[in-house]
Amino acid sequence: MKITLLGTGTPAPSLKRMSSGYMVEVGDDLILFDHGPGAHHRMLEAGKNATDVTHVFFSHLHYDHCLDYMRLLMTHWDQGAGDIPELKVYGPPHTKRMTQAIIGKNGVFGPDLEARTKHQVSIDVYESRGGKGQRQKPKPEVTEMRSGQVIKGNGWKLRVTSVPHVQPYLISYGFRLDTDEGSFVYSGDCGPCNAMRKLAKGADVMVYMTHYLSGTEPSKSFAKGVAGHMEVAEVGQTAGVKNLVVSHVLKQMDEPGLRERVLRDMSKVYKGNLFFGEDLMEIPLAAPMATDRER
Amino acid sequence: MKITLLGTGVPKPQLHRASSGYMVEVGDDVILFDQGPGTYHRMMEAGKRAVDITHVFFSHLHYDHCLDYARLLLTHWDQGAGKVPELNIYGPPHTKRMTQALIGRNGAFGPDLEARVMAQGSIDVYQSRGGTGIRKKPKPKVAEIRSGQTITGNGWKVTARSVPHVQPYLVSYGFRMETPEGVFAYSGDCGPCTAMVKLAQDADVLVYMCPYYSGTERSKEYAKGAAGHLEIAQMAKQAKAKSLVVTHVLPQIDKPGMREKVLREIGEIYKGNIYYGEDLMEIPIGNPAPKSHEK
Repeated sequence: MKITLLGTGTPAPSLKRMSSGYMVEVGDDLILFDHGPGAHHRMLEAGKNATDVTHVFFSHLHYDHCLDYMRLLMTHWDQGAGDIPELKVYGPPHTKRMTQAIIGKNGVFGPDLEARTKHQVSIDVYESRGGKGQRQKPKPEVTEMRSGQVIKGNGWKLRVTSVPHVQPYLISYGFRLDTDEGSFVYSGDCGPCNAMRKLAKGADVMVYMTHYLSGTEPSKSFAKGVAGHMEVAEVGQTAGVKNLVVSHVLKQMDEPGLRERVLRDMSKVYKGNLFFGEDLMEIPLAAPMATDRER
Repeated sequence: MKITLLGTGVPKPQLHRASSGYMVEVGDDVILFDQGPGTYHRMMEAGKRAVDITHVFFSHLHYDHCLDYARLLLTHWDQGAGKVPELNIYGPPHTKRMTQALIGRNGAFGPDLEARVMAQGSIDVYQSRGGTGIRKKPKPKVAEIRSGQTITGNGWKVTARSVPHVQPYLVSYGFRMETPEGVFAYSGDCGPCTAMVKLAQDADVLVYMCPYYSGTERSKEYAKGAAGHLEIAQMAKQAKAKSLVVTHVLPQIDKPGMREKVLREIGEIYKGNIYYGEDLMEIPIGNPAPKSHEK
């Protein structure tokens, strides 16, 4: 089991931090959690291609969590040339409609798909990639999940829970992935909540949106749906999480000195291992260990 | 007038070549020609943000030419916070429907936009970015252009002409942009044709798709809708273009030795300046000139 952070930023465009995206490799499966703008680029940098991806889970459908779905979907299909299984996609309500808006007949790429399956130029390209027979359009297996649902894969089990973010406009989920090697928990976007305290119980790794410096929230309503650093520390401590990853950070606290202050403040409450997330960081299941001096 | 190549690759995912995209700066306008996957990342690397973009021209709606439109559209709107003018978008038929499939009520990001204009947490964010009053959804100015049409901007004029690619499934355009400083022509995706010779007549810079090594096309049909290296050499020669940019290259020709072979063979036909395109390359108006040894 390998956990890689693909995007640790916010909607604000940044070359340093892409929008939200996480990658977990378990056995032969490559699972993405959210795929915000730029996360696909990081995935390529991490050495993976669209055709390597088997499952995608969307926490919610804010564009900073799902925009690169288009790139994944189109590239997986086009480069896959009918040789690989369809993508398995899981998300909240609207995930099916979103998919249709992208690849349906009247969707964004409706005419592209028509052209690529019918025109001789594209059929030539398809065959040169190893495609055989009549070219079919993409048919991802899309499932809209409910809170409490459990999804089973090959060597893994995923639990879904509803978390507070911008309801009623969007439904948001947190996830817990259990494997023989360990457990991974991802908050999606949410404020501090019992759902996450419960879901993360004893987890090896928890990635929690740590958006802002607690106390600087613009309104009470904001703080219900978005977590500050002290709230994340409390949830991590209450749940007894071993490794806690700070991610989805605003530039506000991503500054020299402030970053260190965030870590110091959080350590007063949370006693496990802290990781201040960066794009392409790999998060171990065990405690971080100092290597030999000369290595 | 400044011309920057943002994406010189093909649909195949590659870290060193994003799919098709070009950026031209004229006066206060920043104009994009096509915006395939990865070109948004390059645009940021070139120091431009979504809110800096004023106009976008799409040659055709294959995803490798328009996929990052979604990222541009949403980021321009979200970061613009109502303070920057709406984007001006020009493209072939389906451009309006594609835009609606992205940002319409039932579109891919319909619920995202609803949430961002209605939820208090998002209104707080909007106001912290300097937004005032009721937050409005994006309303890009989308025009579907016809062959022969001319669009006039502040200090520039763009003419579109229909070029052969994958008709009738997609309409494809080539473009000619005239400014007081020089003329830029872009083929979009097309095979050799008189339309491009006209558009590129005496152009300072001609960017022409060059996916393959002439003679290796899989079918006659393919060679009508996509150009090989000898075809673009002929086109540039007939048009008397001053500089020719080789782009949209397949890995087939993008390797040591092959690249040089392609350049030598183009050079036997075409006597102007040749540029083997790379992402983020700036193409000058005028001839390339060596600097002194020490600079």
